[in-house]
Amino acid sequence: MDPKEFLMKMVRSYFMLVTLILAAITIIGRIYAPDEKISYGMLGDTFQLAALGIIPGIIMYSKKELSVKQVVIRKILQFIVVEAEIMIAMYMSDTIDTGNENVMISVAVSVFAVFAVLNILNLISENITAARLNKDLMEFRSNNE
Amino acid sequence: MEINISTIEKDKNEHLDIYCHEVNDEVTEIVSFVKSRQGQLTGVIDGTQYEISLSDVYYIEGVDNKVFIYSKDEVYETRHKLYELEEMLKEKRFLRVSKSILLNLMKIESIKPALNGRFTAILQTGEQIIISRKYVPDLKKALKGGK
Repeated sequence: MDPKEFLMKMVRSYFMLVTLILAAITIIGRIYAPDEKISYGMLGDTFQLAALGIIPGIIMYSKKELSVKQVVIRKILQFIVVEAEIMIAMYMSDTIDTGNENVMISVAVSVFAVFAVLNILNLISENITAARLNKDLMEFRSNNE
Repeated sequence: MEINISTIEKDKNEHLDIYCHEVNDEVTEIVSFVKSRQGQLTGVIDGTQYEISLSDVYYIEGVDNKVFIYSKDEVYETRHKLYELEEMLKEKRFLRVSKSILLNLMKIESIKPALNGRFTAILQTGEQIIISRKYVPDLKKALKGGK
């Protein structure tokens, strides 16, 4: 992939991640600390977490086009790295109660959910593109037959 | 080789004569080019030469310095390079969809997403051809009627 194209994809994913992490924080917060208010610091953490989550995306970079098998392997590797670094970041920060097992499981599940949703959104986007291509293909064929 | 071009009257048939000492590779190539402009390609199976109508061609593939033309039931070898065919057929609804494949857009039944920004073209024969991400913008443009 062209480095510029890859960078644009990373930036797009970053902003999607910010939204999804905010959604995850909101859901976990409502379950475990419904009376707490989100601080400016917490909002800032969202941007940092998204930046942290986007860095392993470099695993998906390749000058040559990847095969389906290569994409799947790299996606799994990317998920493992994202999960590990977010959990380490949680243990290193004092924003959440890392001693509470339920909270930590929720964070781990949330990371998986955010990762899955991000990839599902990409798949939906590709399906929309395919639908547009099929529509254009029909018109192209009827115009040229 | 000398080239003479003469303008003839509208009621006469246009034709091309080649006067040569022998029918060598160069002459064969010229003939092949002219035929491709007229909607035909020349392909070889087991040493026998065939004329293939472009409307019968599904795709053209380059494999290890050889180029093959795929119709519904046959695979012909051609002497042309893939980039030459790409140039010759760009006005004939053929499009490069990967490093090694020129696809007849009229033979695509449908398109479905493959992973990582790539797409798969399902041909009328059921055969599947990968459309590389790099060529997807060209495909979009071509289907919209652009060159």
